[in-house]
Amino acid sequence: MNSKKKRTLANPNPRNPMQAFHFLRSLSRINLSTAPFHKRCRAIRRAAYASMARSASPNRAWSHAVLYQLHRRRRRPVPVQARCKTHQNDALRRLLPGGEAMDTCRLLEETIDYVQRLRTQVKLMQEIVDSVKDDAVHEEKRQKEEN
Amino acid sequence: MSSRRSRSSRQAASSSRITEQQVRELVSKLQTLLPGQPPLNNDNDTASTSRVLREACNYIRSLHKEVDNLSERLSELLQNTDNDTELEAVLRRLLM
Repeated sequence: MNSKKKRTLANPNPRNPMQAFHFLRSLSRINLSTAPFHKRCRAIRRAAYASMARSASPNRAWSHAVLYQLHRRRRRPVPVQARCKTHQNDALRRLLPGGEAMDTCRLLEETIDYVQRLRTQVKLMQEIVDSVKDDAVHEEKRQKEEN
Repeated sequence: MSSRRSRSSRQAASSSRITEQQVRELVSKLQTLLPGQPPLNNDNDTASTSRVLREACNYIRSLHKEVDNLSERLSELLQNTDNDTELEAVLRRLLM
C-alpha cells in the first residue's frame, strides 16, 4: 500500500525496550489535538520523566523521587538529620532527584543510572521527532504528486 | 556489591578505605558516560574527581534542557499532523 521508503527506528536502548514502550504509551494517551500548546508540551515532558522512572530498577531512589514529584508536583521534603554535609557533591545532589539524603557512594551509583536513562530518553525523543518529520515530508510529497 | 559496601563513609578507617576504592571506580564509570572527556589522570584524585562531578552536573543540566526542547518540538509536530495515523505509524515501527 505504501510505496515510500520508511525509516526504521532503531531502539536507542535495546537492553531496555520498556522505556520506549512506556513513553509511547503515555504519548498516545495525551489528547494531542485539543489541548493548548503549553499544556501538551508539559504533558509530554512529564511523560518523558515518568517513563524514565517507571522503567528504572525499583531500588533506584531517583526513580521514586521523580514519580513522587510528578504526582505531588513538589519535592519530597527531606528530614534535616538525613541531609549530608559534603560540599563537593552539593551541586550534584541538588540536580539528582532524591539526592539530598544519600552518601557519596550511593549518589554516584544513582547518578550513573540517571544519566544513562536521561540519555536514552533524549535519543528516543529525537528518533520520534525525526520520524514524524520524515513522515510529514513524505506525506507532502505524496500529496503533491497526486495533485 | 551491597553486602560489601559500608553504610556510611564516616565509619572505621578500614571500611572507609574500601569505600574510597569504590568511589574511584564509580567516578571513572561516570566519566565514561560523559561526552568529550580526556583520559582520567590517576595521580590527582581529588581534582579530577571534582572535575568529573562538575562535568556530570553540566551534562545533566544540558540533558534536562534537551528533554524540554524535544518536548516542545514533539508538541508542535504532533499538533500539525494528522495525529492518530502518524502516531500509530511511529508506534508500529518502534514496537515491531
